[in-house]
Amino acid sequence: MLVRIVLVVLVVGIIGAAGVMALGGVWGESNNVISTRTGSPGGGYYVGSGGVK
Amino acid sequence: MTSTLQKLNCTQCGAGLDVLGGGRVLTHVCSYCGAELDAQDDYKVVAQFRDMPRPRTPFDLGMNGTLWGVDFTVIGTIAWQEYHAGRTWSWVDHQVYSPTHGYAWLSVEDGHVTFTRKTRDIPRPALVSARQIETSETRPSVRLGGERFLYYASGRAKPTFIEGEFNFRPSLDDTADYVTLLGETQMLDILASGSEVEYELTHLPDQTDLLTSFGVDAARMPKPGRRHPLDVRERPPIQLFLRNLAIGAAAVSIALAFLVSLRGETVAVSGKVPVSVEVELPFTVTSAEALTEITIWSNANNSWAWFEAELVDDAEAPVAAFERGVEYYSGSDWSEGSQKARTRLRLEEGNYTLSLAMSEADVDWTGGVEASQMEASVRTGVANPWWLVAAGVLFGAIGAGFLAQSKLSQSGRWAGSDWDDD
Repeated sequence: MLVRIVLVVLVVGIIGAAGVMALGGVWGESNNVISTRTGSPGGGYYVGSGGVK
Repeated sequence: MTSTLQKLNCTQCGAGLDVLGGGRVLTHVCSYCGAELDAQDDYKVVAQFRDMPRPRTPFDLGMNGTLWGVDFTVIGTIAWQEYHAGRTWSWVDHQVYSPTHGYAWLSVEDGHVTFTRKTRDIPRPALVSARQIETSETRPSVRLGGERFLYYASGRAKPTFIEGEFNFRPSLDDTADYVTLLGETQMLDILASGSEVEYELTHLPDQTDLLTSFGVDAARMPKPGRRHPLDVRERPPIQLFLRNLAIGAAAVSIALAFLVSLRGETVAVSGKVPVSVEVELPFTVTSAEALTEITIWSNANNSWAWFEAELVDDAEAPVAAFERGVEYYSGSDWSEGSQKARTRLRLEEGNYTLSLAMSEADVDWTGGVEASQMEASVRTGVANPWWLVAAGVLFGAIGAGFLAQSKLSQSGRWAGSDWDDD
């Protein structure tokens, strides 16, 4: 029974973690967006994804 | 162990023979001279069998043991052979007798020992004909006692060796036409001999228990070949639990991914405007914890259009810039590309303005129409459902692995079947 409880907890944990990452939009930014980088010298553009402003 | 014996002398050769089989024995075939004696008529000689090669079997007449709590004694031996398409199959049936449970068979084939009893129940349908086997698209099946049996094999066998006591009159001239069907835990044999049809049910007892109980010398037992079709390998309950858990988790993950993909609120829409006009679209991001999605639509049809976008904040400082193409082609029964292009960004809370303009467009397909209108829209609070899709795929793969294992195990049971799907 303990093994089953551990397995259920593990599965719920994985789904929960995936849900949190999904809701946070982690790694969901589009490629090829030129964006300013916070604190970058001169506030210029760089090619990358995420971390806008 | 050997049971208490009665003895008689063969009326043909005078050899001492053990009488083991109870009152319904009809025939006793002398182990020494091959004379078939009528057990119901003073053991008169009714036939003489000669040149019978002794088969390889670990059971001897007189051996007894216990099966499912019932004592049985080996009273007779018949070896069978079947020839088909240049191949030979052989097996040995031992008639066994229990004073309380009557007559049955222990069969030795391919290193396995099975237990078979006649049944008076008649399956539905009662027969599986050779024509049905030849012409059926799927395995013929019958039902008996609520269990479904699927066709496994069929053939015609002849005895090559007969010895001991039987509750019928065997002959080397006999032939037995059989159809074997496989159920979940037992096999059903439909046996036709002349105008008589009999039904037998076969089980696979625990081999170690059986051989130990009958005191079989392990060295005399043929090595098992392929897995026996009745060797149903029960999987541990935890494996079934894990399989069900994985399949359930996959379904939940995919369902959540679908729900999460619907998240987000449209906060600004430009409306459709001519592509010659530059769109200025202000919008506000109230939470930096999710993504902002900018969708560009254009009515490009069998053509393409290229758009340049820039995002500035309250202080008119540039925040991001990107270029996106919209291309859409279609025919009578196909389409390719999309009239929408989406871009997802992570923006901090604040007010922004999107500037969008078409920079280039062209028609490069027959019947194409150049983009004349465009629209920009902004959605905030957008999620990335691929994490949940990935979890669904992971759990689905685990569940599918268990299902494949189960399928493989099932196909292993049918490996010896002579059914050909073609």
